[in-house]
Amino acid sequence: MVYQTDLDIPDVKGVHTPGMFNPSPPQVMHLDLNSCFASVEQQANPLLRDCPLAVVHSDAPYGCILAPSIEAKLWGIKTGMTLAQGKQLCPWLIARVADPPKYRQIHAQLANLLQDYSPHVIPKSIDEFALALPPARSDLAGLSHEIKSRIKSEIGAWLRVSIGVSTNQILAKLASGLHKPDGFDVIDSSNFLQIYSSIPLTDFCGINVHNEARLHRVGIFTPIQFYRASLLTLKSAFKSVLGHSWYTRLQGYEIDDVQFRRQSFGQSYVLPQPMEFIQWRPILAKLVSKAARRLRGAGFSASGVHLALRFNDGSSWHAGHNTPNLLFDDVSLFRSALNLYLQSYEPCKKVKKVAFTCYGLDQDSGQLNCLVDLAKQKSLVSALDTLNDKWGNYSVTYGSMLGTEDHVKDAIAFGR
Amino acid sequence: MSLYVLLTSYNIRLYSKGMIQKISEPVEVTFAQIPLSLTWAHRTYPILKLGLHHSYRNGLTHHHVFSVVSRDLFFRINLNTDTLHWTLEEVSDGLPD
Repeated sequence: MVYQTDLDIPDVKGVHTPGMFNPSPPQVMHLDLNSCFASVEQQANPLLRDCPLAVVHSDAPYGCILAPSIEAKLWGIKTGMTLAQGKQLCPWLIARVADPPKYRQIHAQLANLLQDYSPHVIPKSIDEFALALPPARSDLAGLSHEIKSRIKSEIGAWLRVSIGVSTNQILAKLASGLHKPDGFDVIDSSNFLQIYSSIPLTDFCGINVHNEARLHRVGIFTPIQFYRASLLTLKSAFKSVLGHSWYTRLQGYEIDDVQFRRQSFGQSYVLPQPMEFIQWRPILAKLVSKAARRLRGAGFSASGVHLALRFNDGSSWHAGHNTPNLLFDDVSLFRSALNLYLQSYEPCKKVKKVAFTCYGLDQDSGQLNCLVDLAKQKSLVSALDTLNDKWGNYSVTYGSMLGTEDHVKDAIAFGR
Repeated sequence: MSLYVLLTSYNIRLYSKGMIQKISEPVEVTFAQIPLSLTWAHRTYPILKLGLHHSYRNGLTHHHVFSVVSRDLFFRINLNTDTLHWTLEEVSDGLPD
């Protein structure tokens, strides 16, 4: 089911009896590839196995650690640290720059394998899947063992996955994280209280420190209190649809089996060092070009543009505007973003991060514009896209992107 | 040059610091479903283990990448399916950098 906005309240699956945990057998499985990027690198290079390894965005000292291996985690190395911080904790740390095609292939192989167990496989991110198990599957431990064995024999012997099974996606994800790596856990009506009493609130996916603070304000400090709280209390804590969602999730009912319609296309980039406008302008052109290509590939045009900047001193600026016409080509989108910046901001500070988003998506309608020859514009853009499809991305580019070869490389976004 | 010395003294790991070298050099590969050996810089390295085989597209050109190990050296070799040329892209020894 596709929802128009994330404010619509999806239907709850199953007969929801308030105040009682879902008595149905657990049939939602969550599979998480442990230390995904690092495990895949160790799979590719057997000499790196059993070594503390960090997959990094860049191998410069300030390069961000995207994924530490299981061995590196034992040294206290975490995602988001810089490589220099990682090496301080573990001088023997080996760094490898991320190689997205490898991870995408493993993701595709995992998706294919899981299709054998369920027709309803949902990729939650590059390293996570949720699947609805058919009602006939009752030997969950045996099934989990079979999937793990097949992953080792058919995809990679070094790949380890944690599997959780429950009555909804959020609790299945929670179960998959209880015993990492290589874990298997079930949360159902027989053991949910025991699990809830052994974890902190922030172990629930979606309860970050801000949401935890909201819960604290209404007197909820433990998952048991969270579970026993009334719908009214949760609504007053979150002041949004989240109150209803959490009330349903904690009682084991499914509310997350929905897909939201895409609202925007965006690209962002952390600059290797703080840059002046004249230096980051071509990088913005590349970000716009990348987003525009995805926009056109999905058959959309955009009627709004948003630009966000983070400065060297930690401050930030952002602005957006709706455009009079639907935009789809690199030049119009770039001009629009640039105007936004030049009209609303006094350029003086050095920039550390640039983020471009186009929104107000509309399927190409072919509506005519008396000022612009749209047919000509579309045919030019289409010819450029065809050339780049044939010879590789950025084979033909606009001059505004000159000098950006080393920036905005292929990467995998966190989350979905 | 140091890489050449490293590879010619193949059986002796005299170095204490790790090595990873990104290169782009043509190599000869003996292939039968999987790579069996590769010849580079006048030396032939038997391939003892295939870590991972993955592929990607650059435009319409399909590339197959094999991550392989020959004793204590790792090689990443790339087959361009348009030209059928093999390229050695990376050599490393798995020690800390």
